[in-house]
Amino acid sequence: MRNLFKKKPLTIPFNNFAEYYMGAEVTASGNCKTDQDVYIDGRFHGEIKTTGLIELAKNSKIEGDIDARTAIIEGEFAGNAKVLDELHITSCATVKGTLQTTNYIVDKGAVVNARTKMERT
Amino acid sequence: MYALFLDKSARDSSALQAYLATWKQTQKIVSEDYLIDNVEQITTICREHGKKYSTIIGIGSEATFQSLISESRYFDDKAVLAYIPTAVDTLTKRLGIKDYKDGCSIVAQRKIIELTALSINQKYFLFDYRIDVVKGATKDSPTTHIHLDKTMQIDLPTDVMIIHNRNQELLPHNSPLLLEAYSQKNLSSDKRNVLKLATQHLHNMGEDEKRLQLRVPAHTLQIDSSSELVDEYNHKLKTPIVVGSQKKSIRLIVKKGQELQAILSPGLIS
Repeated sequence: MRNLFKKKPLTIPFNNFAEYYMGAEVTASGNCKTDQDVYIDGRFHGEIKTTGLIELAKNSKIEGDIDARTAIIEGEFAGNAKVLDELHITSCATVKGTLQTTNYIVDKGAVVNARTKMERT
Repeated sequence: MYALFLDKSARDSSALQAYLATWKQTQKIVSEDYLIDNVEQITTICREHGKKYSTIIGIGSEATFQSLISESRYFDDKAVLAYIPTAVDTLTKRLGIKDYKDGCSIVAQRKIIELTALSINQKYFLFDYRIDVVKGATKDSPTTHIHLDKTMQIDLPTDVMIIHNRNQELLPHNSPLLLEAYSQKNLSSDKRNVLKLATQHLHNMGEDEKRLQLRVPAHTLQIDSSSELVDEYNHKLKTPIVVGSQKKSIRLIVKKGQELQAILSPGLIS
């Protein structure tokens, strides 16, 4: 019989950070619909819809559709991006597909091969 | 009738037992007392006799109390649970109990709150549930497969997963579960990595090497792994682990005047 009292410490929730957090080691597929911020640094295949911010970090490889209020793309993205307020594509990003937004910023060095549809707010 | 589950290896066990005997006499408590030295014993007793007790008290460490919560499916719906600690832990902080003497007086005052426990396989948990992945001969973390609400599938190498029951949090949320998974790989230089911003939490965990890889909210989870999965007391878990498919109301005795916020989310005020 194992001892009942060998307890390992528990953590406590980090309540103040992105609710959806996927690190560089994570591979995920499917659909994600939320009103919270989403941070992905791993691989994702599927659809993400949020009324908050999506950040696709440097190591991320995303195939699919994103729909967000604000988005930052730092990694590889292939698919359709619909961003209500502002889309920021940073210098290390590679983007393919279609982009639909009201404002976007592309940093020097970013590789963007995408069809863009812009609308006035 | 009361049931007292006393941790056999509890500190000052003989002094504690003497104190309990006097306390029961003073309070005119009729009880059946069990001297416990392993979790399996608790399961057996709860399965056979659980229904007949109106008040079930875990005396000793947090592990004793957690084991009673785990087996709460065997208790009557109106049964009340209480904790009399012999050491300081997270649960004593939540419930505002100083020591076993304080615990006894809190039980006597009998202020009851109702909390929601969530299922993990056939058992229940109230606050957090930790799952450890048993590492094999290789240095790398084994791969864990997670099905989230049947809408998302996630694969990742991880050593530790912690499932938070968010029914016990005061912050607004849309899903009752929050899963966090950690790996032992080094962190990237990313400033957004929450663990770099939360080193104090890590030190509190006493697991500086553990690194967050995943945090996702969910209604239900199904977890499987290429390696053996164990709970925080090293008990093997049957896979796939199904979390959150059922819930149960737990009636818990707490200290009068204890802030609800402290009971539900001690991390927010500590």
